[in-house]
Amino acid sequence: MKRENYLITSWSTQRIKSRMLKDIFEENLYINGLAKKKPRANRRRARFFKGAALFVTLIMFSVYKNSDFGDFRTLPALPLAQYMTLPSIHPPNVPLVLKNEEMVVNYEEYQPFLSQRDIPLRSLFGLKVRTIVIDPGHGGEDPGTSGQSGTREKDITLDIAKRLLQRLSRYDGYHILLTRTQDETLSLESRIEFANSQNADLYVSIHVNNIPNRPYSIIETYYFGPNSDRSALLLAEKENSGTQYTVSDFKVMVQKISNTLKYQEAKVLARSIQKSLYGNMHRSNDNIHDYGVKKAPFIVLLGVDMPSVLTEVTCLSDREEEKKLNSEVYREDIARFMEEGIIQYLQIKNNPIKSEV
Amino acid sequence: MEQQDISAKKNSLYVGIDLGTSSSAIVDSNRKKFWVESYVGWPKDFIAAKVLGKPVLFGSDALKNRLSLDIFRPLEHGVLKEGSSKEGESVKELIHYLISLVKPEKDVPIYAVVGVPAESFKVNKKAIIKAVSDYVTAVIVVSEPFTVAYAMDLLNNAMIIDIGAGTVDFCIMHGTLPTEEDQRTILTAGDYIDNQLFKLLSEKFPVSTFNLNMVRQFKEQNSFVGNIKGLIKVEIPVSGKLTEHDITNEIRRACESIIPPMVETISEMIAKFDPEYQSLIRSNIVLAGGGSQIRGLGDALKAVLKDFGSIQVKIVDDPMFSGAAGAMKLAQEMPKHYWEKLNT
Repeated sequence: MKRENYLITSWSTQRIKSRMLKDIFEENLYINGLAKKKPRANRRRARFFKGAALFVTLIMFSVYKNSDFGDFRTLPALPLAQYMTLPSIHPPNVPLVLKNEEMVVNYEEYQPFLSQRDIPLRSLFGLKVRTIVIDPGHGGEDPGTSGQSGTREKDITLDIAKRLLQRLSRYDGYHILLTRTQDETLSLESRIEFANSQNADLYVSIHVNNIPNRPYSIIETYYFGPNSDRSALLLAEKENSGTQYTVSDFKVMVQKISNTLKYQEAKVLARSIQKSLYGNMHRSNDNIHDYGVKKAPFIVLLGVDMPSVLTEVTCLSDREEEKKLNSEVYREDIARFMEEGIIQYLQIKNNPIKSEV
Repeated sequence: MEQQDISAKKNSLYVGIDLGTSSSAIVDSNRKKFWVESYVGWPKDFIAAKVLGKPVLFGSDALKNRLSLDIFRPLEHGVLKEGSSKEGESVKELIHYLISLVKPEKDVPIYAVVGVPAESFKVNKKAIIKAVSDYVTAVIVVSEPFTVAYAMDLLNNAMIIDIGAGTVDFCIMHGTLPTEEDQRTILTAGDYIDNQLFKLLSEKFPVSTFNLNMVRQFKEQNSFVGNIKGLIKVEIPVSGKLTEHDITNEIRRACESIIPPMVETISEMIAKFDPEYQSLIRSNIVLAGGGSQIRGLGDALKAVLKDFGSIQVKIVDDPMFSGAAGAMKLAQEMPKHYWEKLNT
C-alpha cells in the first residue's frame, strides 16, 4: 500500500516536473525572442476564481429571484456612504426573511459569504456609485517630489487628474469632481472635507513616487490600514505631513475604520486600479515593477467617509520615466489606465459613452 | 533515442549558478561546488594593477583590496540596468570567474541554469542571459526561490522564502511554474539589518569607530532573534584601542526588524491563495538564503503566525548552495532537445 502511494506521488511529481521544465523552456524561448507566446497562467488560482465567480453568481441570482426587496436596482440613488451600515440591518442570528418562507436564509449561511473580502458588498446589495472625487496630490507651496530634470509631482498629478476627469465624464450617471483644478496649496483636511461635503462615493488620490538609488519605477496602490512595512510607513509619514488634526479628531476618525464596506470597497478598487495600471504600463516598459496593493495609514484615506485609495502611478526618480511623464501622450495613457481600473471596478462596461474624448 | 540522450548528457557539463546580491555560488554535474562574495573589482590605475597583479579581482580578494579598486556589487539594487556597461561587465566577469572555478574541460558543451533574485528576474532576464551566453553553450534563467524549491522537490503546496542581502523573495509553489502573482519581494533583508545595526551601534557607542563592513561581519557571526544564552561581545576600537563591546540587544533588535514585514507578506500571500490549500502551504514554509541562518528565525515566525493555524517552518540544509544545487538539478533534468533549441 505504501509502495503504491509512493509510486502515485512519484508519478505525480514527475508530471509536475516535466510540465514545469516545459514552461521554463517556453519562458526562456520567449525571453530570447525565439517565441511569441508568453508562459501559461496560474491554473489553480484561475480555477479558484472561476469557482468563486460562479458561486457569487448563483447566490446573487437566488437572493435576487426570491427577495422581498424587489429589484435592487430601484434603490434610491443615495450616496454610497449612507448605505454603509447596511449589514447591521440584519443583526447576527436573525434570519434574513425572503418572500418565500422556504427560502429563508439564516445569518450563518450568508455570514461566510459576507466575510469573503473579495466579494464586494456593493455588488451584493446593488449599491450605486454616483460621485467620484479625484484628488491630485500636493499643489501650490507643496510641490511633492521632483525629478532630476525638475519635473514636479504636483504638476503631473494635476494634469493626470484633469485627464481622468474628462475620461470618466463620458459615462452617464456619474458626477466627477476634482479637489483642486489649479496649482494651489490645499491641506489634507480641506481635501477630506470637500469629499465628505460632496457625499462622494469614491475617492481616488493620485501621487507620483520617488525611490532613490533604484534604476526602475514602481506602481503601488494604497488603501487605509495598519502596515508594518517600513517603506510604506515612511511614505505615509511623508504624505501626511502638514495635517492639523488633533488627537481627539484622530480618535473619531479611527472609529470609522470599523466600516466594513468602506474597507472592502477600497481594497477592491485599489486592486482594480493597480491591475490596470501595471498590466498596461508593464507591456511597454519592462523596467516598471508591480509593488501591489498595500495598506498604509494615510490620513487622507482615513478621513474621507467613502471608499478611498491612493495610487502612486509611477516614479519621478527614474530618469526615463521622468522624460516620459513630460509627454502628453504618456500622461493621457496613465489617465486611460486609471479609467480602465475604475470602470472595471464599477462594472459599467455596458453603460453608454456620451462622446469620445 | 533515450539512450542517445543519456550519452549526450554524459558528455556535457551542467552547471547551476546562484547569482546573489551578497554571494554567488556554482554547483556542477561533477559535484564540484564553490561560492564567492559577489564583489568584482578592477584596479583603479596602472600602479594598482601592477601591485595587485591581476586585471580583475573577485569576492573577499576584491573586498580586501577595495581601496585600490573600482569595486562593484552586481545586482546590488536588485536589478542590472541594461546599458550600464560596468554593471553588465561585472556580472559577466563574475559568471566567467564562477565557471572557471569548476575547471570545465575544453570543448565540452556547458549548459547553465542561472537563478537570480526574483526582483532581478522580473527586469533583467535578457541582460543576464546576454552576460552569461559568452561562456556557455546555452543558458536558462529562473527565479532563485524556484531553484530552491526544485532542489528540495517542493513543487506543490509550499512557500519558499529566500532571505538575501538586498531582498526577501517569497514564492508560493503550487504545481506550476510560479508567475509574478505567486511571488513577492520586500526590501527589508540582510542589508537592511546591517543598516539598522549600524544605526543602533552608533547610538549606543558614539565614540567607538566601526564601519558598515565590520557591522556586517558582526551580524554574520552572531545574528539571532528571540533569546540566547550569554552575551555577544565584540572588539571595536575606541580612540585606537581595541575595546570589548556588548552588542547582544542591538543584534537582536536589528535582526527582529525584518520579522513584521515578513509576517505581513506571508499572511497576505497565503490569504490570497485558494482556501482549500492554505493549510498545506502553511505547513510547508521553507527558509533559504543567507538570512535563514539567523538563529531562532524559524521559531519566531512560527510563534508570530500561530494564530493563523498550524505552521511548519523548515530551514534549508545548505543555504550557501541550495539555490545553485537546484539550478544544476534543473539543468540536468531539462530535456536535451530543449537545450538544443535554446542554443540556436
